[in-house]
Amino acid sequence: MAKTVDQYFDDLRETRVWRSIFRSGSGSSTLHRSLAIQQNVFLHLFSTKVRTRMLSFSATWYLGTLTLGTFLILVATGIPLMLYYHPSVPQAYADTKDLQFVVSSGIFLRNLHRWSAHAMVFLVFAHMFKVFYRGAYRPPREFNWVIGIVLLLITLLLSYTGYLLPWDQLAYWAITVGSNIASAVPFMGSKIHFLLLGGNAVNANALLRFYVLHCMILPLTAIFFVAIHFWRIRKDGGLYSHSSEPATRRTESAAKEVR
Amino acid sequence: MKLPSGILVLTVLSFATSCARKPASISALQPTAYGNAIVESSGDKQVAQIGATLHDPVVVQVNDDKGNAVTGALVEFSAASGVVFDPVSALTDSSGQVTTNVSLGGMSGRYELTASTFDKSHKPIEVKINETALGYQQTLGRQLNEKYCERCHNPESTVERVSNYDNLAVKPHPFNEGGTLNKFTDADLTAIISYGGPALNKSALMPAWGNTLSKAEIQGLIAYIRAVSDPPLHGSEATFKSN
Amino acid sequence: MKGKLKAFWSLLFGDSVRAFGVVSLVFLASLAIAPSKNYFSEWRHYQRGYLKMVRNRADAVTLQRHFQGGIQQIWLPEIGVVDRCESCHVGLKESSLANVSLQPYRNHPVIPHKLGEFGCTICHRGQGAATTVSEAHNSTLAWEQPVLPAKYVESSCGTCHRGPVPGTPRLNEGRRLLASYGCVNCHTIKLADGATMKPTDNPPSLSHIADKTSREWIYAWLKDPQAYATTATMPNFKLSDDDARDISAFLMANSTPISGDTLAISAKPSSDPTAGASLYGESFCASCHAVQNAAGNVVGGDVGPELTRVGSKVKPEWLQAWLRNPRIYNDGTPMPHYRFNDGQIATLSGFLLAKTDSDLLANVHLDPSTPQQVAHGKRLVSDYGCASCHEIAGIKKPDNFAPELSRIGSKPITQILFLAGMPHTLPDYIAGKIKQPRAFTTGLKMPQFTLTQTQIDDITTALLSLNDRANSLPPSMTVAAPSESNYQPAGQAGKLIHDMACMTCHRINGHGGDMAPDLSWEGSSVQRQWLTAFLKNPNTLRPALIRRMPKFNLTDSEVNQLSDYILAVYQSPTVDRDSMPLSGYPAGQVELGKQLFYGKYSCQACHIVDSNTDKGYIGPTLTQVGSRLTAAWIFQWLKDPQALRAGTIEPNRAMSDEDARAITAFLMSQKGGKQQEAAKK
Repeated sequence: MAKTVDQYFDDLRETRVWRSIFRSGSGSSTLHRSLAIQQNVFLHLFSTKVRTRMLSFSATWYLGTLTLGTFLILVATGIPLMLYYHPSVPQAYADTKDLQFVVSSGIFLRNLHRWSAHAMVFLVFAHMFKVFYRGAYRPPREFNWVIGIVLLLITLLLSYTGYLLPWDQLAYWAITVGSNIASAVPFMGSKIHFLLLGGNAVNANALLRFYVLHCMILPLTAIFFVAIHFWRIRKDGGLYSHSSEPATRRTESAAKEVR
Repeated sequence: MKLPSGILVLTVLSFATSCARKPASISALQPTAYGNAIVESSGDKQVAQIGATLHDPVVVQVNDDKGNAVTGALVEFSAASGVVFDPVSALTDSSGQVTTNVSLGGMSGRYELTASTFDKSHKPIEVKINETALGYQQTLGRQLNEKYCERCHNPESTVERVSNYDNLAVKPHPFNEGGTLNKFTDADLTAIISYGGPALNKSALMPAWGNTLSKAEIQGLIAYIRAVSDPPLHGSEATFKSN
Repeated sequence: MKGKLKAFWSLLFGDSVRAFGVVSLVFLASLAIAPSKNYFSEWRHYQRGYLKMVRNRADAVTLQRHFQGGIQQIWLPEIGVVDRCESCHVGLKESSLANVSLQPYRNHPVIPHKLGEFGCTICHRGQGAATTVSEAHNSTLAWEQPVLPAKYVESSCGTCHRGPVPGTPRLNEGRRLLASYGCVNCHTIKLADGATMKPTDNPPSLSHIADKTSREWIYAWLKDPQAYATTATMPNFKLSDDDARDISAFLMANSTPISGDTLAISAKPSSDPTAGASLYGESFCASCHAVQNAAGNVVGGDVGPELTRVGSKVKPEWLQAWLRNPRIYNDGTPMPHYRFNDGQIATLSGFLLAKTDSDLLANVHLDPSTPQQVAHGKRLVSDYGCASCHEIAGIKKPDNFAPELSRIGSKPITQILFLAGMPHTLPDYIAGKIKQPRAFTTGLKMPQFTLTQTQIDDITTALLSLNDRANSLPPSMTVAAPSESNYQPAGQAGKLIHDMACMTCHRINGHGGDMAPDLSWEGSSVQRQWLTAFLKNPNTLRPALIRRMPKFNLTDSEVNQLSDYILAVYQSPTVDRDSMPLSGYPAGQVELGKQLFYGKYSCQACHIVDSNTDKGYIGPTLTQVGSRLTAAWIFQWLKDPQALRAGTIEPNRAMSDEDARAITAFLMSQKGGKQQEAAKK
C-alpha cells in the first residue's frame, strides 16, 4: 500500500533531526498535542488546553491578540528601519528621506511601522475598554488589570519616543510641547524635564535618549510585562468570559436585567 | 428598513453637495465676429533670457477675406509648457489687433508660439511666431556682443550707441544673418574671433580677440550667434512647439 | 442572485479555517504591492524612457555605454548636498543631447561650474534627495522649497558671488535697483561679508525746502511723484488729500532758510529759448539730467533729477542760486559748480523756468496751514518714515523702519501672509509684495513703486540671493565683491575736485562714477599742455559719445593747480612717462608704424588718424594723439590695454615690442595743429 502524505509527515517527525529540534515526536494523542505546546519555549507561555468559550469572538473581539500582533509588526518593521537610521542630529532627517526615496520598499516599512503604531495605541485603548465593560478586571484578575495599565503607559511612551526620531518640524515641536507639559508637574517638574531630554532643550541628547528608550529600554520592558500579563491570564484561569461565571451569579445578573 | 435607507440618502446627498465643484471654464469670452486670416503685426523674432518677459508685446491682427480688420474675434495663444501669456486669450479691438505679453519658458532654445482664431465655419486658422530664449552661455555671449561686437556688426544705431557699420570699408555680417554665418563651423568662428579676419582670408578690419576674450567667452559668443541666427543652424538648438 | 451571493460567501468564509485561509491569501497578495511599487517606481520609468529615446539616435552606442541604471546621486558632504536629480535627468552630462526638447532627457546647458562639484539644488533649489517628481520639484508637506523658476535662477549665483558677474545681468540689475530705488534706506540689508548695502539714490534734504519750492508743488508731488517726473524713483505713498496737505504744511513750517546765499535774483531770467537751449547743450547738462521730449521719450542721464517740468517746481531765485553755486544749498551734491557768469545764469534759468506744466498745479488750492495741521503733518512724517530717506530738521532717521531683508531669500513660508489666489511660493510673494505692497493686509506703510515687470523680477532675483546659505558659506567658496574705496583727493586740488564734482563721472583710485574714464593713472598718460588746454576747453575725443565733459570756465590758476596735482599724484606704477621721448622718432620707424596701423592691425576700423580717409569712431580720434598722450603710455597700452584700463574694449593683440614701438612712433608723429580744426566734429 502506498504511503499517504500524512504517513510521510509522520516518518519525518520520527527522524533524528526532527526529534533533536522538536523533542516530542508525532502523534495526535492528547499527550503529543500537549507536549507540542508545553515543550516549546515560545508557546509554553500559553496553556495546553483552552476552553472554546474563551475563543469566541464576542468574548474579547480578539483585541488583546491584535494588540500583540501590531506589536510584533512594529518589532519586525522597526528592526529593518534601525538598519538605516542614525540617531544623530545631522543624519536623522536625511536618513528618513533616504528611507523614503532610496531604500527598496522603505516607504512601505516606514508607513507600516507608523500605521501599526497608531493602530496599536487605538487597540490598546479598545482592549482596555472591552476588558472593563465585560468585567474581566474582577477578582482574581485585579493585578492583571494593573499590569495592563502599565502596558498602556509603555505603549504611549513608545509612541511618544518614536515620534521624535524623524527629527522634522512635527516631531520637534510635539516633543517640545510634551516635555513642557511634563515640566509643569509640581516640585519635580523641571527635574523630570531634564531627565526626559537629557538637557534643557530638545537637541542631540534628547534624540539619542529617545532613540535608546524607543528601541531598547521600552521594548524590553514591554516584553517583560507582556510575559507577566500572559502568565497571569493562565494563572487566573484563562480568558474571562461571562459564561464562565458560576450559575448563581449569572442568574442573579440576568434577573436584575429583567427587572 | 426605512431608517437605514433614509440615512443612506442623506449621506449621498451630503457628499454630493460638499464635493468640490469644478471651476467655470477659463475662456468665458464669446466672439462677436469671425475672421479669415490672422497675421503677426509685431513682436516676432525677439530674443530674451529664459523665463524673462519679452521686451515688446506680441501683437496679432485678424483680417477678413478682403483684408479689413475684424473686431471682436477671439484669439487664443498657445505654446509649449512654461510659456506664459498675459492675457492668454482676448477679443480683437477696433483695429483688429490683440496684444499679449509673453514670458518665455525655462529652457533655452527657440519657442514657436501659436496664435489661433476661428473662421465662420469654426475651422481654426493659425499663425506661428518664433522667439528665442537665451540660456546662461548665450546670455554671456549677448553681453559680450553688446560690449565688443555690436558697434561694428549691427548696422542700426540707437540713442545710446552710434553704429560704426557705415564707417568700415569692408562690411561685417550682422550676427542674425543665418544665411552666411550658418556656413561657418564652430571651429571657423573660433578661428576668426581668436585670430582676426586673416584667419579665414577675410579683412583685417576684424581684430584678433583671442588675447582679450577667454575660451569660455568665445564659446559663449558662438552660442549666442547660433541662437540668434535666422534661419537657424540645423540641429543647433532645441525647438519647443505648441502642444 | 441572492442565493448565488450567499453561496459565494460561504465558499470563501464558510468556516473559520476557510476564512482564515482566504484572508491570509488576500493579505499575502496585498503584501506584493509594496515590492511591485518599488519596482515600478517613477525613476525607473524615466530611465526606461531614456533608453528608448536613445536607441534611435546616431550616438546610441556611446550613450548606452555611459548609461548607469539605478538611483544616481551627487553627494557633497562638506556642503550638505545630496542630489538625486540624475536618476531621472539621465542625460545631464551628455553634451550631444543639447538639442533634445523632451524633458527629462535634455542635457544641462553649458555653465561655468561642474555639476559634480556643485550638485543641482545649490542653484535650482527643490528637494534634491527625492526620487519622485512631485517631491523633488514641488512644494509638498514634507518639503517647503520648490524648484526655482528659471527667471530667478541667477539669484543662486548671487549666493556665492558677492559682486557683479558678467553672465548674470538680472542679478546685477536687481542689486543695482535695490540701491538706486532707495530700498535699503528703509530695509537694512546686511551683506554676507559684513558690509551694509548703501543706497545710491541721493534723496534731497528737506531742511530748507521752503527756499526751493512751493507748498502746492510739495502737495502735488506727494500725491503723485510720477506726474511731475516719469523717471522719479520716489514711490507713491497713496496719501489722502488731508494727509498731503498736512505733510506739506509741516515741511514748509519746519524749513529754515539757507545760510550763505541771499537768494536774490541776480539777473532777470531770459526768455530767449534758443540761447538757453544751446547753453544747455554746451554745458552737457543732458549727461546727468533727463528731459522728456515731444515724442514722449526721456533722453538724458539719470544722475540728477528729471527736468521736464522743473519750471513748475523751483523758485526762480533758488534756481539762480543753485546754478551759481550748488554747494551752498547741498555741499554733497553730485552737481558740479559750473562758474557761470550772470548772463549765462540768466539764459539758463530762463530756459529751465520755461519748462512748466500748467496741469500739474492747476487744481491745487491750499488754505493757509493751522498749527494742528502742522502737528499732524509731523506725526505723519514720523509714521511714514520720510526721514529714512530725506534729512528733515528735528526728526531723527529711524533705525530698522522696515523689516530687515538680509535673509529674505530663506524666509519660511509659514511666516508669510499670502494674497488670495497667489501661489504659495517665496518668489511669488516677494514679486507680489513689490508690485502691490499694501494689498496684503490693512495698515501697511510700504509705498507703491513704479517698476516694470522686468525690474520687479530683477529685484526679486537680487533679494532671493540674500539667503541662509549665502551667510553660512566658508570664505573659500565665495567670490568677494570688488572693494569700493572712500578715496577723496587732498589739498587745494582736492577742494577743486570736490567743487567740480569730478568724481560724479570719473573714477579715481577706486571711488567715483563710471560715466567717464578712470583718472587714477591720468598723470602717466597725458601731456601737460594738452591737459591744461582740455580742462579749459574740453573737446571731442570720442565722436560717438552723447555724454561729454562740460566746460566749467575754470580760471588759469585753477587749471594749473589741477594739472599739477593730476600729473604728480595720479601716476601708474608700471608706466614711466619719461622713459620714451615725445618726438624725434626715425622716419623709417614711423613709416613702419603707419603700415602696421593700416595693414596688419587695421586700427582704422575703430580709430581716426587721417580724417580724410579714416572713419572709425569707436575709439578716441588719434589725429593729435602725439600732443595728447605720452609715448610710454601708448606703448604700454598697445602691449596690454586691459592692464591699464580694466574692461576696455581695445583688443590685446599680443604685439611684439618692435611692432608696438613702431606704432607708438607713428602715433607720436600725429601732433594735430592744422588738422585739429578739421578733426573737430
